[in-house]
Amino acid sequence: MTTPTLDQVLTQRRSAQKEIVDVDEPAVKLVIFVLGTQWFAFPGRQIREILAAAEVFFVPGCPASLDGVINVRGDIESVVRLDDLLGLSRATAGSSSILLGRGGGMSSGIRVDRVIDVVDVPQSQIQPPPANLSETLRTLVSGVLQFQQQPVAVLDLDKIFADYARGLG
Amino acid sequence: MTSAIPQAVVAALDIVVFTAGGYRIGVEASQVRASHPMPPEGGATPTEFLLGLHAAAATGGEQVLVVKHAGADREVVVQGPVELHSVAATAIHPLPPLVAARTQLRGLRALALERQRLTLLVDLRSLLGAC
Repeated sequence: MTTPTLDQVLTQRRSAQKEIVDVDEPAVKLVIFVLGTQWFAFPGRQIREILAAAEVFFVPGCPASLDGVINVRGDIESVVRLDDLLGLSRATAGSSSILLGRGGGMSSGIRVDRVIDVVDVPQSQIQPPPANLSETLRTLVSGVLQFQQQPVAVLDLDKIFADYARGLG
Repeated sequence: MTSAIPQAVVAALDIVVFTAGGYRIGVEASQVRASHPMPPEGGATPTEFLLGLHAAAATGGEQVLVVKHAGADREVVVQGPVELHSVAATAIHPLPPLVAARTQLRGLRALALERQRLTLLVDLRSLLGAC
């Protein structure tokens, strides 16, 4: 075994330093999830809870985009289908998760296909939304980032809930 | 100087429960004066019509509720059985904001969830006033 040189040690140290995240940079917590084949995220501060399964009670007279209500430890929350609200096609039947979100002065469950991760992302990684988004998404996406080699659209939950309450979606 | 008037704590609410359009519906018992089987000649207003629901096929279990309204009695048809039921106040929930904003079910005021069974609490009197 050869004795390491000082150059080798310094190279190794410089390489390690490059991997250190600048802790002073502001970070944003994101809840990243999938709808169909597309990846989206909500700011973590707007998501109170992630429910793997909950019995949804149908309420007649509501649009198809409103699944019904769920019982969350004695409180009732509505559940909306985010794919419908974003104008996306519905995923084939399968397991899904419900995010309990708060935005626009309201709270509701939000049905998504699958939660990928809850991560802290440096603010600088979030870029302005591109111009080629669909008309529906253009007003609801506040930024985009790359995560696990996938483009992720960060959604504006305040606007989603406010628009929905106004009869849009 | 203002002082808050202490409110009596309501532990439970008596409701009259029935079926309309296939859904479990509840009405404050104070709104209902009586209930009886539907007479052969009919004539009362179907509850589905008041609520804006599709009428369910007649099952023969139709009942008439006599509802107090504006100093007179009005009759509405519901699907039986008609039950008087006490619901704990803790099981009664205001409508979630998005449901309140988007529902087309007329007269829906609140939801009661007991033992994983949902009851739609409606205000029949206001519906009768509107028609």
